[in-house]
Amino acid sequence: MTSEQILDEVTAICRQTFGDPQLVVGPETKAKDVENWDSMTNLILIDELEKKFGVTFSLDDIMNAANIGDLCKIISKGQQ
Amino acid sequence: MRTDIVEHNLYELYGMIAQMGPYPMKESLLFRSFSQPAMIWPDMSFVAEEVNELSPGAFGELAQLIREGGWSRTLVLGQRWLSNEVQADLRANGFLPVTQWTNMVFSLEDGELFEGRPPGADRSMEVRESPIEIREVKDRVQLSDWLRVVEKVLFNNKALPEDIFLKGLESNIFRLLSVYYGGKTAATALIFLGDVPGAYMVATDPEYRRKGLASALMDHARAMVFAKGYKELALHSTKEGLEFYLSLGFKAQDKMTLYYSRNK
Repeated sequence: MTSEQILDEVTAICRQTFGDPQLVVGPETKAKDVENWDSMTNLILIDELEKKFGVTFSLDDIMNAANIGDLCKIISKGQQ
Repeated sequence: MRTDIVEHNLYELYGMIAQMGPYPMKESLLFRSFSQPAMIWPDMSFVAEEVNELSPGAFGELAQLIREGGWSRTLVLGQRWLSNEVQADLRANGFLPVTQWTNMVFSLEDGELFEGRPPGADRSMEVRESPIEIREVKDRVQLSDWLRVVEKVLFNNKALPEDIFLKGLESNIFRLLSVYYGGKTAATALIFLGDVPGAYMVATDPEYRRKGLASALMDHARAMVFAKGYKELALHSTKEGLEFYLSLGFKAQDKMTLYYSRNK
């Protein structure tokens, strides 16, 4: 998948997870920029991303990912 | 000093709350669980303190207990448990990491900060140009204001069970501190008075940040517990709070990780 395709899929999952069909996210989007993105919804997000892309986020991945761009990079790397 | 002192402190707090009911502690050979219907504090499973080693399949057993019901789906593990093998076992059994805290302790021997200070009785203090008043919660109205800030800052506005806090105050197992700024409750802390005192639920309303409230609050909390004869104050810090607590003289120990079971 291209990085644009990954971002599109991640956006769709974010919209579903955070309950906002109009949500727009980009590589620089952080948790504090999105309403309802707290530790528990973050967990749901990670769960959905793992299922969708068939990747596994390590503990360090989850603790160190600072924004959507970091999540996309982990997904891209996991798919290689 | 024990490296797991903050975990011990946290589990002791949970154990004491469990004794107050109506939130009983469930126990297996390896784990303990403190649970209530809502997925909010207090609600977690943790390794029983007397356990020295987690046998292969331990998390499969815990997942089974969760599936059977009545066990918390959140699991707190100290860093010493998290070998690669254990992390793989956790993942294989449906546990996902949610967040991580750094265990921190301030020891009186570490500095001269509190020499000559008055004991931790209620007092007013001036921080920068604005008056800050720090008081212990004494009644339901003050508790309601205290909870409003905690729920807003730490629990995404989910209501916490008021009875736990009332019983904790009545049983003298913790104190609740409120920081008033311009007469309004602006910051909070729960000071647990167990084997080692611990500061929990340290929260500052976003409207009142960058005014020195948290520093004043921790200063007050330390003075309060040291006046009671304690020599240490423990806490667990988020990644965001780490630099702040280090700047106050707290020392980082190991970490605790919160896992969540996606098993249903």
